[in-house]
Amino acid sequence: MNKEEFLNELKKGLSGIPENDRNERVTFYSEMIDDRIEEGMSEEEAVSAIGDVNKIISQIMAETPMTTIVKERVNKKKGGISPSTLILIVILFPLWLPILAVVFGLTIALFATLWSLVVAFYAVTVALVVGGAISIVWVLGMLFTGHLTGAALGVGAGLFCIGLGILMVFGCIAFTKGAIKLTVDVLVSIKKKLVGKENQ
Amino acid sequence: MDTQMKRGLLDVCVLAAIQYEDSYGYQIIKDMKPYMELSESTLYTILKRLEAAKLLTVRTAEHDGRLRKYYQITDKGKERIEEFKNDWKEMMSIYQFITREDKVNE
Repeated sequence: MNKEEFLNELKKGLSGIPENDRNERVTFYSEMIDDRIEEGMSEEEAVSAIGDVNKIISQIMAETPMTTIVKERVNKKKGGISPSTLILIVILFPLWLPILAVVFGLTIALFATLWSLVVAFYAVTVALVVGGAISIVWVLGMLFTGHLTGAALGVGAGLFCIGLGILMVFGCIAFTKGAIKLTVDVLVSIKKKLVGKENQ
Repeated sequence: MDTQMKRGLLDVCVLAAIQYEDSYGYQIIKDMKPYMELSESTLYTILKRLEAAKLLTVRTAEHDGRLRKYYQITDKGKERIEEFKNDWKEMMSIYQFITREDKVNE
């Protein structure tokens, strides 16, 4: 790779940072290569002594604050919308606003459904355990009145409910974990869509 | 080494490289090479930080038909080196305390 190729790659890779900063960095590397050539290295040697251009780019991007990158992106986007596109966006306002609202509403509804299911799951579990416990206590009352068959049946049903409830606790935990993961995944992918691919 | 500590150390090293005469990027890297390996991108970040803190100033001068940036230390930069030396003296006496021999039980 010669000097020009290196500097072009660098410039391209740093398109996400503000222009001043980018030009200054490119000049800095250009000077570094020239100084090595002056010392007697060949152009190729001087470039390879600087290191891998992609590594340099990712190091710089990692050092640059996220806010700077996002700001630069927003600035670029503003400049990128042509007047005709802008007019089109405004004219089609009655069309895209309902669509946006529907997508937004659907997302909220999805989350609401998901989390109500989680709540319902817990409610059923609690109902089973509490119901089972009450039925056993109630059955103890039946013992004193002499209804033995009824009492045995009641104790059995109560124990069954409690057992099922305890088993469901594990299901609840797994279900909650899944719901949390899904929520996080969806939110992260929305964020990625907003911020753009270059910044990950 | 603790990153905060390393960062401070690197700052002082770069200041030390220009403490007696103005220097430029590649020269700084060469001067530091026997003591520590410093990449271009790291040096750039340090120089920017030192410039923002007014510990050095930058001027562009023509050299051999092209432009080169020269870095000059400020009084504030020299003060930083002195501070570092004093801090280090303190650190050394603490180090001696930490590594002292056990005289009582000998």
